Amino acid sequence: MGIPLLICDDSNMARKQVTRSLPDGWDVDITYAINGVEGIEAVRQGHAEMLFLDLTMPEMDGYEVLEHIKAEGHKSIVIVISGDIQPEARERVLKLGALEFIKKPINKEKLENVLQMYGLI
Amino acid sequence: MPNTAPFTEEQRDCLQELTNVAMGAAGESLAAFTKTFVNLSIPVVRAFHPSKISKGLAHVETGENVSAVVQPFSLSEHECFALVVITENSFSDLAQFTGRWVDNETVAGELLGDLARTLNDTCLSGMSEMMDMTLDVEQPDVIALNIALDQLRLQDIAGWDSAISIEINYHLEDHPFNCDLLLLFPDQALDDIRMILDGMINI
Repeated sequence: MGIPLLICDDSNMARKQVTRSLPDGWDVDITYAINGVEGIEAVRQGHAEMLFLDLTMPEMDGYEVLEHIKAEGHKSIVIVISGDIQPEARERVLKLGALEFIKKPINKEKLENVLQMYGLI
Repeated sequence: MPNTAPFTEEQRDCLQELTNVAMGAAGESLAAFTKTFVNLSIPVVRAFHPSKISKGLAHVETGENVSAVVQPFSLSEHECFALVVITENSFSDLAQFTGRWVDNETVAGELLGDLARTLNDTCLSGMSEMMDMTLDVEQPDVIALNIALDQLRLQDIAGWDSAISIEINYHLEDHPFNCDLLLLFPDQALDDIRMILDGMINI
């Protein structure tokens, strides 16, 4: 069994881009969520040892997902992947417990750098 | 659900995600311009008749009067338009952020022009870069000051059979400021856009 990895983004295209950017041979067990409501549900079910999270989503946005994770005490390692590149957006998600923020569009190099920086691969 | 007829679901999703990234960069420009946190929304792709332009502007349909500025641009030779529409209450915010008193139409027009350039330059260059299309942006032109939304017309697109639009809404946190950026593409650009989207989908 690989590491439970949740990819939460409302765009099919973005979910594909994240999936394609995963390091080769990384042993992960991927679950997908298309909005924050599905995302937090998947976290509760234990599918998110790691979570790659978009911010702007319908139903529930990424900020709210982070708030729920914090309030409910889940131990997920969260990396936000978003097009919202305001410096304050980054500050806010880090304050809400995200480990790191990656600017979209994502690619293999950006993701591997972050995963390596935190010793996650 | 809005009518997105000319695109498949995959194409619409791809175009929406491209826009999402481009509007995020423009949001950062707006945040720097206003020194305020910008709440981004999900962009909406629609198709509608050119005489019904208010149909593309759902986010600024608040009952307030609006002002609008248009900036023509060509995307790989196709003539397109970026229409920036703000609600009347947004003006006091804009004036406050820029330290200017909006007491006449000239100042109002200048503020609208600055706003349009701030949003459009970043958003359009981001989109054209991602889509690998050439871009040429013209100067902004104020087309409406303080009119009812359903009175808003854009003469430049009156001859189009139909318009494809992407509505991008920007809110400022804890402020009444409410602004729509509406990107308008003619039918003739559709084949090119679809081909580019398909290329990105099938990577």
